[in-house]
Amino acid sequence: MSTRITIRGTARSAVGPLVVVACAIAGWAIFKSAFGVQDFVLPSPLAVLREFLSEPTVFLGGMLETTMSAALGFLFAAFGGVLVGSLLSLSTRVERSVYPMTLLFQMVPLVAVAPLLVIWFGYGRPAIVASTVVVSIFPVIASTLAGLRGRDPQLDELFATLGAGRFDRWWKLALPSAVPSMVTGLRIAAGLATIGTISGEFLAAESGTRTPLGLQIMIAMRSFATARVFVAVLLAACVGFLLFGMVSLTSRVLLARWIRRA
Amino acid sequence: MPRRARPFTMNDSSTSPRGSTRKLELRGVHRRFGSVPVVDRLDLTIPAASFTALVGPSGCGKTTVLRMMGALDQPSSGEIIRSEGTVSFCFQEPRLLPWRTLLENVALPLELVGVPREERLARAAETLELVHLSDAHTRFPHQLSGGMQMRASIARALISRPTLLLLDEPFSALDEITRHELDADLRALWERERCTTVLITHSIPEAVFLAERVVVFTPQPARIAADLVTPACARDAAAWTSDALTSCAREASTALLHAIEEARR
Repeated sequence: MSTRITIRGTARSAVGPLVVVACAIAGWAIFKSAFGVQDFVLPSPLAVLREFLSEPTVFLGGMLETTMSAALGFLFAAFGGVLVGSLLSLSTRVERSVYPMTLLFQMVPLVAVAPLLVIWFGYGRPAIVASTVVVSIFPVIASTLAGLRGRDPQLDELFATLGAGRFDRWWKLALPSAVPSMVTGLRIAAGLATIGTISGEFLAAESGTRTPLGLQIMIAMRSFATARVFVAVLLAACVGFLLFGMVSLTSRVLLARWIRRA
Repeated sequence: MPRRARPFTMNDSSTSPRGSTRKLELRGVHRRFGSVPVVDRLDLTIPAASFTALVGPSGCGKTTVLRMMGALDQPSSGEIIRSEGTVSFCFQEPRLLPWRTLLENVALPLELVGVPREERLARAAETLELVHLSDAHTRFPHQLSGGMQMRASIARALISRPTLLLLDEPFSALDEITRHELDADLRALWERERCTTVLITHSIPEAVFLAERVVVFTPQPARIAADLVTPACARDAAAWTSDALTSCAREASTALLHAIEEARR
């Protein structure tokens, strides 16, 4: 009945996925030793772990850096997307005129835009955050727009009989109706954000006190330090997982009153 | 332009019978949708504090009449004279906001006219008591049965102390037993509040049980086929099967069948 999230319940549901992960790692180790794959092509799981333990602060520092860029970019995309979607929904004419433009925005491959972002923002965080926003804002705009348009006409009529003004209809009916759809868009955006961040870091990151994961991957690739690449890739996956998990958890709490439970 | 409800003051004239001179009058009201006449030169006077039921075959234009009474629709010709005051609608569906608790749902009409939060929630609690839902304040609509949702919907219609209450087949989606229960409560509520009420229903027994007066419409375009005064007996459970009410219902049914037959010819 309730959506309360219990520790025991979460632990129980984590058993299955953990077993699968363990099997995958075992399969990886067996594959490597059975076919005698060279270390620079595929390092063993143990070598990857050793690599991580050799310089944990460097890797975790990079992870922190990447997480901050991804989270910042996601937040901009979330607020910006909801804002743009809301503004577009105010008028059908504006929506029809502007929406194709946002679609175009989405169609341009990020890798092609990234150099432009570097020209505009210079090397460093602003360009990386911008690349994150470019990748993840579209689903938020689209889902906000769909949610705001999809309000129940019967409830709209109710608000009319109650003499509600334009603002009240938007604030008290359209916006709350759109929440479930918006949350779906935000989840998709959270998944995409890390892609945008890492791609941005490939091109625009600077090595400073903390080198972000994207740049670490590039540096390790150039010196064929494959185990290092693996560590950075796995940590980048963790960043994505972390962001997605945070958004999912928040949305579950947020959605408690919207979800119909029989 | 939707009319704003009059802001509520705590010392509203809720104790005195609301505006005994207030009434609702339809004079030669005609409504066409395109070239199709839906309502045909309708003359109807609804006295203040009365309870009138409108029955007729489905699609005959009853809902259009009700919508015009509540200014949701305008007549093509003719006029509707409505005295000042709040009009409340109650629809076939409860139309509650799924993300709001019952209390917040019922308080919505007051919220939209700017009544302060504490005051409107107190009023909502009072109104929920009227419809026997005082123990469900913090529940969400989907946690309630259809009957309870409909009660909440009625509470929301009553909270603005309407001078005119318009009910569009409010109980048609409910099962027979729940429906009888809500009918009895609605009648009791009206007897206490004496708010001018107009009800649309498909059920003649329900119309006769609830209302003081039953107006039977012809098939489209809607014209008045019969205008009956129901017996003034007590509306308890036994009333459903009492001779007085059943014979009145029979009279209304005969008029309705006659009108349908006439229209076919």
